[in-house]
Amino acid sequence: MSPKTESYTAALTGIVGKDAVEEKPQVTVAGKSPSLRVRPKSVEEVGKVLAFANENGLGVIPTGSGTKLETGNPPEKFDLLLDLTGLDQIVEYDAENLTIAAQAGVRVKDLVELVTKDELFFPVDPAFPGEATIGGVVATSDNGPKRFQHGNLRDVVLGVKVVLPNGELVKFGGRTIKNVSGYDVTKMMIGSMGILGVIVEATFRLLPEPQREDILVHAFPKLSEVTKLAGQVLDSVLVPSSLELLSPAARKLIKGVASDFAVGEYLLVVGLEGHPDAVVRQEQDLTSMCANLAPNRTALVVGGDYVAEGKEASEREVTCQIHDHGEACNCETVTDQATVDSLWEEIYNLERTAKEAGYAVAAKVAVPLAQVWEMAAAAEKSAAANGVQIAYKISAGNGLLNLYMQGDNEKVLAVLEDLRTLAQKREGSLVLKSTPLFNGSFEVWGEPQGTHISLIRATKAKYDPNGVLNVGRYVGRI
Amino acid sequence: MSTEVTKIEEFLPLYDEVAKCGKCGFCQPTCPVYRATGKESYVARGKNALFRNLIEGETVMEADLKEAFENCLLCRACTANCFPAVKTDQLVVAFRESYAQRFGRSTIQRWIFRNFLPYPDRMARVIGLAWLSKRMGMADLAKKMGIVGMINPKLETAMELRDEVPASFLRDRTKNTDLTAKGESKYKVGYWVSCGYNYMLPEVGEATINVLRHNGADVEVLGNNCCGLPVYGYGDVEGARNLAKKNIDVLGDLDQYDYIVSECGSCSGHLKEYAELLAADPEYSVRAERLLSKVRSFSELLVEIDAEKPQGEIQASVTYHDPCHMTTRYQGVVTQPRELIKNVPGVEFREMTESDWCCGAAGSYNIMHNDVSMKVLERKMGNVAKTEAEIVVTECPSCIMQLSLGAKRQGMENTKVMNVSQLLDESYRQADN
Amino acid sequence: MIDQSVIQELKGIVGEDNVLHNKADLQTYEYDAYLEKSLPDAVVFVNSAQEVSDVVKVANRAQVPFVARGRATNLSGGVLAMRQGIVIELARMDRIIDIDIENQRMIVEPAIYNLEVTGAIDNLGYYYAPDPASGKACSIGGNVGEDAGGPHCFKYGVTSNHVLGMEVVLPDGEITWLGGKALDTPGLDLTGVFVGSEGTLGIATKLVLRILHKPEAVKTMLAVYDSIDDASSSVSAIVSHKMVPATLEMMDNLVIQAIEQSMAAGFPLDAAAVLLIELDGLKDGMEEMADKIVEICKENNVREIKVATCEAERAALWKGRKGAFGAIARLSPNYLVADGTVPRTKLPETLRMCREIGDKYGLRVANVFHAGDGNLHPLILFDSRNPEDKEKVLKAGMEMLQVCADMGGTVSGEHGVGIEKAMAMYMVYNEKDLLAQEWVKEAWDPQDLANPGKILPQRLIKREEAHVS
Ligand SMILES: Cc1cc2nc3c(=O)[nH]c(=O)nc-3n(C[C@H](O)[C@H](O)[C@H](O)COP(=O)(O)OP(=O)(O)OC[C@H]3O[C@@H](n4cnc5c(N)ncnc54)[C@H](O)[C@@H]3O)c2cc1C
Ligand code: SF4
Ligand code: SF4
Repeated sequence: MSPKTESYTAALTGIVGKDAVEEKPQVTVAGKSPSLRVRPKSVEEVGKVLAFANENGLGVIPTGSGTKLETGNPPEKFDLLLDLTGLDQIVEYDAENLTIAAQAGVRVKDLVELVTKDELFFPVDPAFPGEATIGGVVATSDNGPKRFQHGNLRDVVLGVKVVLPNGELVKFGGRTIKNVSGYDVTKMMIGSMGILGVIVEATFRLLPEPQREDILVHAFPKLSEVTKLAGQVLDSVLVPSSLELLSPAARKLIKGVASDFAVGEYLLVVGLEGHPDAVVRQEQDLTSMCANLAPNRTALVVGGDYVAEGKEASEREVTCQIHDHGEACNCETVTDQATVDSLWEEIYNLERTAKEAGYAVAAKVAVPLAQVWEMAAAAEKSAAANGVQIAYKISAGNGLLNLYMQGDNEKVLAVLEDLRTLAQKREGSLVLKSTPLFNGSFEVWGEPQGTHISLIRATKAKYDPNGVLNVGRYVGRI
Repeated sequence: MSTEVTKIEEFLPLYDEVAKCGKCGFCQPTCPVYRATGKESYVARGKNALFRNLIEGETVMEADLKEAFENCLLCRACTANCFPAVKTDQLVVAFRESYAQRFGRSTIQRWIFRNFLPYPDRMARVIGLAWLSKRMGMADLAKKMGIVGMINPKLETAMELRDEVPASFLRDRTKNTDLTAKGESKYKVGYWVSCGYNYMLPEVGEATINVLRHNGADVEVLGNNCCGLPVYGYGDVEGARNLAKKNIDVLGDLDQYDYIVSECGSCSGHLKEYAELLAADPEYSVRAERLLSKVRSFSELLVEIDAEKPQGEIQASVTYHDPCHMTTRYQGVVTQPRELIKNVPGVEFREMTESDWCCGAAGSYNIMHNDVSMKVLERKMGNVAKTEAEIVVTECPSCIMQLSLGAKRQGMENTKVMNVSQLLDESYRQADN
Repeated sequence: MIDQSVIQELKGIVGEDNVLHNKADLQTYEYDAYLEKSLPDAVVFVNSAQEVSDVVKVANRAQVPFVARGRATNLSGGVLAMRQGIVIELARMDRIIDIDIENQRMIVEPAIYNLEVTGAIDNLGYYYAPDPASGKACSIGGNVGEDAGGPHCFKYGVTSNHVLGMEVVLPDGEITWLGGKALDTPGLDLTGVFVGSEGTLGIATKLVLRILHKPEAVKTMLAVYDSIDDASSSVSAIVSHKMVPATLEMMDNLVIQAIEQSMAAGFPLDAAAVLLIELDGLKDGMEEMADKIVEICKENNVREIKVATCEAERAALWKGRKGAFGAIARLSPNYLVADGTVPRTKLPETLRMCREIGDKYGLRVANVFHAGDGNLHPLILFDSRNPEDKEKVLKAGMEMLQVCADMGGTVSGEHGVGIEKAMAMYMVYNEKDLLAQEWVKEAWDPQDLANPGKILPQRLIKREEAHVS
């Protein structure tokens, strides 16, 4: 260990205490490892650590539980891993006014549990909710299927507190639903991947828990039919909370209730929330819309508390419970909340399951809603041509395609290039979410389309003039 | 330009009115002139700001201000959309009056206002001359005389539009014709001769008289002068008052008529405002009130007397343009013309969007500010076109001529423009044949 | 005063007729719907992004400030040319560029009226959600400038939730795109920062809007109360009973009086307050939710609750609400709106304190506001012909904002800071916070030419310094 590092260790130990500094931690980001992991326990400590790093020109990467640490270009410098899991306090929970302020290290799961007790709903459903922290979710702007109804983080975060690289604590926004007092820096912090400051606290808007939540699952033999269905649903009065599609390969990765369901086909997963009557009505409409496009397939309704009177909640009801008695249909219903939750869980963790199954590369394509199908078709075609295996999930309401790939590096790269070109032609983007294989040979964010790179650079220069935070990892290697 | 700030004393009575303007901007979207130009000084809010500045001595009466107040159709769309209902049209007229008093009108304008309009014979002679020159292929010459436009601004447009020159004025045409009721005589109706129909579209007047007679009216063609609206619009309020008084005198004993009717929305509308115009005059205001109780616009009267339903079929799609002076902003005769149109067998009525937006004719506006007027007209014709109606019906000679011009300019050759009375007349005639 | 040569250059870009610089014209560009004035040097009518860019470049060369003007209905002094210079008049850039139903997007030019956006897609079954009461008269560009809200924003979110991208002319004149039709553009959310920046970061020349499918059913209710507190408690109670109505709007007696004088919307003249509650969504279950709301209102001493039975009745109720600000003119020629926001449960207390402030200064205060969002709009009435009143009103407004800040709220919910609330920023942010906000301005507009003197108190140009006539 160099004498310099030793002096850093001493100084940082002085700030956060011995047990909160770890030398040579087992962490790598694109092949680079930091010399120290520091785990401050308070906002003041974060400030001091950053001020120290700033003065000494250290490269800092803040992290929560590290679920998205891989996203980004290789860091230019990486001296400190700033572990924020020690900031684990709920700062202010105002159930009556439907807001909650939590520190960065609070895990999403814990927050959800807390508000669920009061029958409230946290309108953010990121990947890996069991581990993901508030700070990480805000910094990466990571959100899941229900985003379709409840919006993205920019729509539900009311304010943030940020420690700037100079060590100062500042706040942006507030805790009211509406707020136009000054520049909306909160929005800029969301998804900024920690290049401007360290988000130490965020205030969220909460919602009342929906009276009922169901999932409707339907199989489709062909992509073109789902495409049609999504178009019909989006252009209707129906208001699903999510509209997801799993490719046959992705469907195979899902365990639990839907696993033995319509093997080899595309699986449409529709989330429905709200008044029980409205949920059932949508199930009725959707099952018939689906049946028209893909006849002779079973619709599986995974539902909340609507077990018919006199019956026990069972594993899977063979009879349908959404259509009127006596009506002919192909529906089955499963009726307990735990099953609903576990199906979502499977979907949230898909990226990891895919990785474990050998899909080493994950990418996200964002295009205008209706173009997402063209992207999926193109992905299948390019993958087949290149001999690459893919699994994917589409968020039809948001125009997002999450792609998991395995195959030769070069072949995978070829597919990525194809898709990026097409996405950009459609005014969209392709972002690489995990990068273990390329190490910088593929531009993670792509040439920014629709974003003014020099403005981002100028902004970075203002907030982080000495280049401390996540240096080189962002768009344009900023 | 004078740098000394002088408050405009004569505007003080309007201070409360203009102070009501809270600059909310709600008058913008429906002001036809603003929509055509986007200029703040053309919309009510801008005019009110300038007017208030004049009162408060923040600016001086000068030529640069004139443009703002000239660019107004007096259509009152602003007032209708203004919560405190600021009467911007009154401010505009007040400005025009005051400006003219300070800087004078062009001599020729004054000369015409004072020496022609109140004298139907002189008017007839000059306009007759103009038509004559057109008939002889010298339309340009007539136009160049300029004076034509000023005597009656519509004449220029009319001269451009009409291939066939009217052989004679309405007044002459009605001289030796039977004006008594067809069938049982039920009412005595005084027919107000509007300048527009008299000099430019006499056939409309004939149709109107026919329809009235058809419905039991004994018609008397009144010996009226110009109603005075154009003069008022120029800000010659005194001139307008004089014409009003003169007209009241000409009409004489009003008891002899059950109704006084005009199929010109501007005339009927303005006649109804005589009382307000003459409010300060103890004698004439009473007579004007009396007149008010007799005056009806054509459509209003026909619905009021429950006119006979026409039987002749007219297979056509028809839309209706509300002349400003017929809208709720003025006399509020809105449902009646539509009802009459819908009553005609075979007609398919199609409401147009913004049907009550000004067509841009507005007195002399289309002459003085032709560019803007044409833009206003374009918007109107766009709305007409969207209905794909074959016939546009209205109740005002200015509108008829402006809309005809619009149709011609927009290449809508097959779109016919006519007065409500013409549509009814045609249906009655068909049934008679 | 700017140089004649600059005027000539501007004329060269947009044409002789499209540059105004005589005093009479300029005096119609020295105000907006706020209470102050500042006379610009020139007004330029632009017709394309290229023209905006060229004009901005001239301004840069001559170091003359400029301000983008939408329809000038903002209530905080947003378009006042505080350091004179050029008003860039966008009025003629009001076209619809693209209606893309398939992708649920629309691209418009900035000056299009808010209501005309929905007007253009209504027949296709779609609408644009943010619905400021001024929708008829304000532009989408101005909405973006102020991050405007409206009644339905309680459920659907404000302008920033519905503007997904834009073409902008940056303060140095460069034309660029931020965001777009697709979501999640890589890089900082610059669209997010631009919305609400009041023209201080550049000029938007095209906007990508999210459009929504119209709901299947709508139910509108008017709840009438004999006490404001009961009305406020109903609002909290409805939300705590797990309901998210589309709107929860409150109007107090003074506002009711004004509305009824102006347009007879059918609000009872003797009510202390009314709530306008609207549910929207699928028709299934709506009846039951409406019943539930009636029940909650009854528990909170509602006097009477009426449900609109047809579209005409609904329209009349909304006409009343949307016309409320304007109708105030019936009571008094001018008003100042203190657009503070508080946590919902603090409404009764905040309203009481605002009333007390009004009483202290002998000023009438009328209330019409977005109760669901806790976004107050105390309208403080006065006559601007009386300068003393105006001073009192400005003071009272500040005190009310302080109350909102003390309650854990903020000083502007939707009308923006402009010059009006710049000093009030200190009530919710400290100097470090404000410095970190100023970095945004510095990064985008190092020359400080785009609408200078707004938003940040450290940059405020005081009106005494500004007023030039
Ligand atoms: C009667 C009344 C009722 C109102 N009700 C509401 C309400 O319910 N909710 C609400 O939120 N507001 C309301 N307002 C305020 C006002 O209507 C809004 O602030 C509106 O968004 C302003 O739009 P505008 O077109 O008038 O913008 P302007 O006033 O012209 O401009 C506003 C700001 O935006 C900037 N700007 C304009 N165009 C652009 C552009 N293209 N690019 C960048 N910056 C630009 C300007 O520089 C300025 O700073 C109301 C106002 C009135 C008078
Ligand atoms: S609508 Fe009326 S109050 Fe509003 S700006 Fe226009 S004239 Fe003034
Ligand atoms: S009267 Fe008509 S033209 Fe004149 S300002 Fe009002 S709306 Fe505009």
